[in-house]
Amino acid sequence: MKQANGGISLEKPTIWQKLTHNRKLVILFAVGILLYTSTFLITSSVFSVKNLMSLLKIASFLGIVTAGQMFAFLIGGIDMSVASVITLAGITGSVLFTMNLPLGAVLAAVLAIGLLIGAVNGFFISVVRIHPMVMTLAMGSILKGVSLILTNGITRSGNSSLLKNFANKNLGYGITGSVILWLVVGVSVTLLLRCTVFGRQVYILGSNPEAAYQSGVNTVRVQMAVYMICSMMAALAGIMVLGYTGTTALAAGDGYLLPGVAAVLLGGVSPLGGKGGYGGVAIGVFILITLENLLMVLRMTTADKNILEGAILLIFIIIYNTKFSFRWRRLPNDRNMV
Amino acid sequence: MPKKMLKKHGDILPIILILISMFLITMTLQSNFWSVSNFQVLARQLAPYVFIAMAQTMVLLLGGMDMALGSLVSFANVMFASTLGHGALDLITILGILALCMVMSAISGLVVYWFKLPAIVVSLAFSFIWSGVALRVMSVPGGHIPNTVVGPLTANIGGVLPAPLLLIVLFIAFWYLVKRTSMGVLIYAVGNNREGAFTSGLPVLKAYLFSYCFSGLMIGMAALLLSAITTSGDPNIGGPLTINSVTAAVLGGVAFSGGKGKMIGSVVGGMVVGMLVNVLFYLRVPGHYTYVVEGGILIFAVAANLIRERGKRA
Repeated sequence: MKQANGGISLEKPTIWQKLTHNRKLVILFAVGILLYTSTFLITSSVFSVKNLMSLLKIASFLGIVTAGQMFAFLIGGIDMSVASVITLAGITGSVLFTMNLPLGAVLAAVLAIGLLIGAVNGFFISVVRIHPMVMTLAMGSILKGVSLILTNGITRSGNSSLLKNFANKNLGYGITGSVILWLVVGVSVTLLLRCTVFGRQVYILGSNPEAAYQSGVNTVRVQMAVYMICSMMAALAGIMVLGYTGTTALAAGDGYLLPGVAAVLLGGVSPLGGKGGYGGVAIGVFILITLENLLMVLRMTTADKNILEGAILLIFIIIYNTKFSFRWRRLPNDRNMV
Repeated sequence: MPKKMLKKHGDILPIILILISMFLITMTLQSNFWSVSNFQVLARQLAPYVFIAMAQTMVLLLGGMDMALGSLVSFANVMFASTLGHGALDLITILGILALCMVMSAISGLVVYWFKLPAIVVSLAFSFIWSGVALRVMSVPGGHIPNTVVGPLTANIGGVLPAPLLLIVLFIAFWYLVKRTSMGVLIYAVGNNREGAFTSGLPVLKAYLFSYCFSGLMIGMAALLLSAITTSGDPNIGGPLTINSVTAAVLGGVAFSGGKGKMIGSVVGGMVVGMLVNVLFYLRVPGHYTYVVEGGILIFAVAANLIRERGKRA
C-alpha cells in the first residue's frame, strides 16, 4: 500500500531494501561465509557442527573483548590496555583460586579490578583529557609491570573446576559455556546500545562531542562508563581464558589487542566514533578467527599473521573511511577519444 | 637578557630541572660519575632515546602520532644484524637500510595524507605489519654486528667526544636549519591547521613527505646506534620504544594537537627517558617496576602539559 506522504514512503522496507541498506554488513557476512567454506576446500575436510562450535569457542574470548573495545571506538576512543587487563585478570584469578576462594568471590574481585582500571582510564581521559591512546598505553605499561611484580615472570596455574567446566565442557553439539556467555554479552551489549538512553548518548558523544555536551549529555559520566565497561569485559575475557587454559602467562593477553581492534574496525565501527554496532563486530571476530585458523592449518608463522592482520586492518580503515569518488576522467587530448 | 631567555624557553625549564635532578641522584650513588669514560658511556646509551624522541616529535608536530616507531626500530635492527659484515660494502648497506626506513615511514605518512585518516590508527596497523616483517627477517634474536661498524659508532673522536653525540648535534643542527627555511614554517602551519594550510594553497604533501622521511631517517639512526650497543639483532627490541618516544616528546613539551613544541625539548625529554633506567638501577628498584614507573611518568607528563596549557589559555 503506497501512501503519498510528502514523498516519504511509510511502507515497511522490503527484505531487499533492508539488505541494500545494511550493505556493509551483508558484504562482511558474505566474506565470512566465503572464508569459512574455503577452509574446507583448502584443508579438504567436511563441515560439521562440532567443527563450527570449536571455532566459536575460540572466538568467544575475542568476542567478549571486542564487546568492550567497541564501546571505546564508538565514542571515538581506543583502549590499548585490554591486553594487560586480560593478563592481570588471569593472574589475579589464579592467585585467588590458589587461596581456595569460591568462584563467585573471585569473579566479583576480578570484575571489580576491571571496573577500577576502567574508572582510572575514564577519569584521566574525560576529566584531565589525556588522549585515550596515550592514557591506555601508559595504563597498559603500568598493569604489565604489576603483573610482572605479582608473578615474578613465572607461569602460574590455578583454576577452579567449576570455571574449567564452564569454559571447556561440551553442553551438547559442542556448545560450551563460553559460547553462551559470548551470546549473552553480545545480546546485552546490543540492547544496551539500542534501547537505553546511555546507548544513544554513546552514539551522540561519538559523532559530535560538542553537540552532545551542548544538549546536556554528561560527557564525563558516559566516557567513564564506557571505559569501565571496556576494562570489565577484558577482565571477564581474562578470567574465561584462565578457565580455558588453566594457566596464566604474561603474554596471555597480547593476542587479543590487535585482533580485537581489527575485528572492531572490520565490523564497520568507525575509528572516528559514532558509527557501528555489535552485529558487524561479531562477524568481524568470526572472520578473524577463521582466518587465524586457516593460517594455522597452512602452517604460517606469527610473522605472517602479524603482517596479514595489520594489512587487513589498514585496508578496512581505508575502505570504510574514504568516500570513493574516483571517476574515469578523460583528458582533453586523450588518444582514446579518437 | 636572562629574563627574555626564560620567557622564550620557559616551556622546557621543568624538564631540564628533572634532568639535572636525575644527574644529581646518579652522581651521589655512582662512584665514577664524574669521569670522562662515564660521560662517554652515558652518551652512547642515551643517543638512541634522543633519536626516537626527535623522530616522534617530527610526526607529533604534524598533529599525528607514530605508533609504528618501535616496530620500525626492530625492523632496522634485525636488518643491520643480518646483512652487515661485508667489509667496505657495509657503508652502502647501512645507507640502503636507512633509506628503506625513510621509505617505510613515508608510506604511512602518505596513507595518512591521501585518505585523511587519523595517523594513530594508520600507524597502529603499520606497527603490526613492520613487526611481522621484522619477525620474518629474524624470528629469534641473533645475528651479529661486525666490529668494523660498531667501532666507529662507539668511538670517541679525539679520545674525548663520543661519536653518537656528534651525530645528535648534526641532526639537531640540520633541523634548526630546516626550521629557518620555508619548510619549517610549512610544517608548523600544517600541524596547527591542516585544512587551513591546504585551502591557503600551501604544499601540504611536501610537509608530510619531509616530516615522515626525516622521522624515518632518525628511527633508522636510533636503530643503528642501538645495534652498535647490543651488537646483535632482536625482533622485539623496539617493543617499549614507542611508548618511550611518546613520553620523551611529551616531557619535552610537544603538544598532541600538533604545531606546537620544540625539538630541543624532546632532546632533553629523550635524555630523561634514557636516564630513567640508570636512575632506577642505582636506586636499586627491581626491574619489574620499570614498566610501572614509565607508564606513571607518561600519564604525569601528559597531564602536567595539559593543565599548563589550560592555565595559559585561561
